[in-house]
Amino acid sequence: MKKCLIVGKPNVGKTLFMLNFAQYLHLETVNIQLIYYNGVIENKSYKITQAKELLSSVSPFKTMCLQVLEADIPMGKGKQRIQVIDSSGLTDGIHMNVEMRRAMAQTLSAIRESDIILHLFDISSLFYDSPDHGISKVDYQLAEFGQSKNGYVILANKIDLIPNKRPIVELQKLFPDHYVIPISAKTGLGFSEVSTFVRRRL
Amino acid sequence: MKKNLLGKSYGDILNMFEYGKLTTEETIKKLSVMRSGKVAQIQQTEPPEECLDEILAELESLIGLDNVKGLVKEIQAYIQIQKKRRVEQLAADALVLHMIFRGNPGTGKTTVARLLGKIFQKMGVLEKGHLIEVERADLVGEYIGHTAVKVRDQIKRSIGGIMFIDEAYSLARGGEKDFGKEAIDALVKGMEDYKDNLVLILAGYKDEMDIFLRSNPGLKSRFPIHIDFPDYNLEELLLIAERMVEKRDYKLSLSSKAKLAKIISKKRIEDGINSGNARLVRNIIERAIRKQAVRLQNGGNFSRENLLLLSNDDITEEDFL
Amino acid sequence: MFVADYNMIYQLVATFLTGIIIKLLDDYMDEELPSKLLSPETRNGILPYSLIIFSLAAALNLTYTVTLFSGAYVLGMFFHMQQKLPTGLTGLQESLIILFINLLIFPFAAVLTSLLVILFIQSIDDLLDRQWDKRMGHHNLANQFGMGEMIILSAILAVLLMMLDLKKFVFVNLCFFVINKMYKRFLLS
Repeated sequence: MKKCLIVGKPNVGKTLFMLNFAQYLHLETVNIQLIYYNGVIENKSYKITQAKELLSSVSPFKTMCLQVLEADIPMGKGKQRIQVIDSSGLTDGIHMNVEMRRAMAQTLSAIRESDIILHLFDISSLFYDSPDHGISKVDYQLAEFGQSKNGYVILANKIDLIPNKRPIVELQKLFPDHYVIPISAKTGLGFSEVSTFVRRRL
Repeated sequence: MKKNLLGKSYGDILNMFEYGKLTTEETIKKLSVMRSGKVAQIQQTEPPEECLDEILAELESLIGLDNVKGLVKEIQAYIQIQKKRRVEQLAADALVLHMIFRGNPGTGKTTVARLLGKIFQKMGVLEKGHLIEVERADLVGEYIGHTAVKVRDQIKRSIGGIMFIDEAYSLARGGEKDFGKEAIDALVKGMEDYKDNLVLILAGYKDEMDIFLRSNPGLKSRFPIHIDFPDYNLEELLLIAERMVEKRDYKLSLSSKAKLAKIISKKRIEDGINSGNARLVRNIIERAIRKQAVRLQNGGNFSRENLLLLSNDDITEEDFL
Repeated sequence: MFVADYNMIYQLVATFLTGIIIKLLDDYMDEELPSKLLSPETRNGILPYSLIIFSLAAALNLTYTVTLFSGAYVLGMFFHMQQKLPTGLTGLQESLIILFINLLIFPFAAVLTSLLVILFIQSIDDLLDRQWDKRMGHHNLANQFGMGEMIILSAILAVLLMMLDLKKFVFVNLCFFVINKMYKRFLLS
């Protein structure tokens, strides 16, 4: 089964995106499989609204394991089942806490095995004041990794929070070789473009 | 497992990341390099430096040994500068890297020697960077001519790497009929012959090494680098125990940590500080793991928590036969 | 062979019309039909017009039309072999059935050369669109198997086709070129 991995810094909206995207694909309940770094697998079933409350929160590492969701994507003449995988946020440097490192190592391992990589950026927090535009080293490295990978795309999330299109244009300028899709995980803007992209890769 | 040019596998890289030896961005970069073999080819001059960083990181991660780390950094910097000087066609020193390691058993001498071998190899100072550990019996013969042959054999094994002689002062013991002195002479000759591709490290108890060197003045001048390996203090030994235990996915309960501390302190008072250091800790931990296995088997509860935990009862001083 | 006769003209026109249909089908599958065609007035016309054009092409030369179109259909399934389709079959199964039917009805050489020439066109197309396809996530033979490999494949196919059916090779390439030019002009108008 094809795997679609969602990566990015902590708090860019990965979990909310996964759940709302699942809703967009007409899932009402989600069966989420939590895969812990040591291989333990838990299966939990939620209604999407329930899941949204439970799994999304402000704490940066709420997602400390891989959350796998299976969905049917309509494509071509039929439909295909894919796994959408939410991951724990990746930070620069060496994290002090070994549990975080393990969670991140799990994410990094999944990157290699995934067919599609959705790299989320919080566009509402970029390009203001800081010299590196608020883009982490990990983000740059991931983008570079994406050069060699078929099926990598940048999703500029939280467009509902920006006043105009300038940040998106700036982001595209920073990553000229990559496809940038502006989205809002909250409102569902851009989801059809994402769906089209994912379907192309299947 | 897929390996790249540097022989590192995907799993190794992720392991290093988990152990906190690589930053997240570096890990991703390495994974990218692994994917596109082409990139690795173009950057052939870079990877050796990267690997060196990993080894230096491993050194840093050893517990205690601050003076050792400092000295190794100095050595590494010195070698690098000499290399750059050569590039600039400036006079560069010939590198004499033979060393004396002074310290009690279990203080990390062999571990550091092994790391140094790898560091030297990465820096192009030694061809292979392997470590050959020898003791008196490997070098000293029983009849005339035997010693020279034995020493030559060991040197042959060590070319391109490091020869680590533990309890080196034992070479000077023995009376007139002893061939220890011949061994020393043969070693010195070997150091001369292969001076560009062989590093010797003499190791042993501090006092004994001092006496040994004083009575062999010619030797002292050939070993310019002296490193002291202090005994670990109680805190460091506990940290080592925790590391050891974590590495194998076990956990020490608070009370077992306390008991461990008590046992170690007791041993240090009984046998003197010179009581095995890290080796003592390793023995206790391995015994604890075995005892835990027996305890769990008798109890029958194989929950994850129980499999992880080493309890108070598992920490013991001696084997009960 | 180079004497112009009705047969050849029919073959050429059939190829041309089938080429248009194939292009429409490809865009439809990729959801990249030009917006001009998707306006409310034209949208509903796509299916009927495609079918009538296709039937005219078939009338002009049944073998060319059906084998070329089947080739395009089968090749389009290349990256979706395991996908379950509305017929209940997998992509692979549908492809095999279509090939089988073609082989039953038409001469082996005709089916083979049509397949090969479609593959050739696809290889060239993918070589040219490498960057764009990679960015947009499209499946692309050159990205999947390597640029060098596809160049070699294209060369081999070209030689084979020139040996087996030079006429078809020339016609198809010609039509492909013209159709692309027309398409670009249509998009810009």
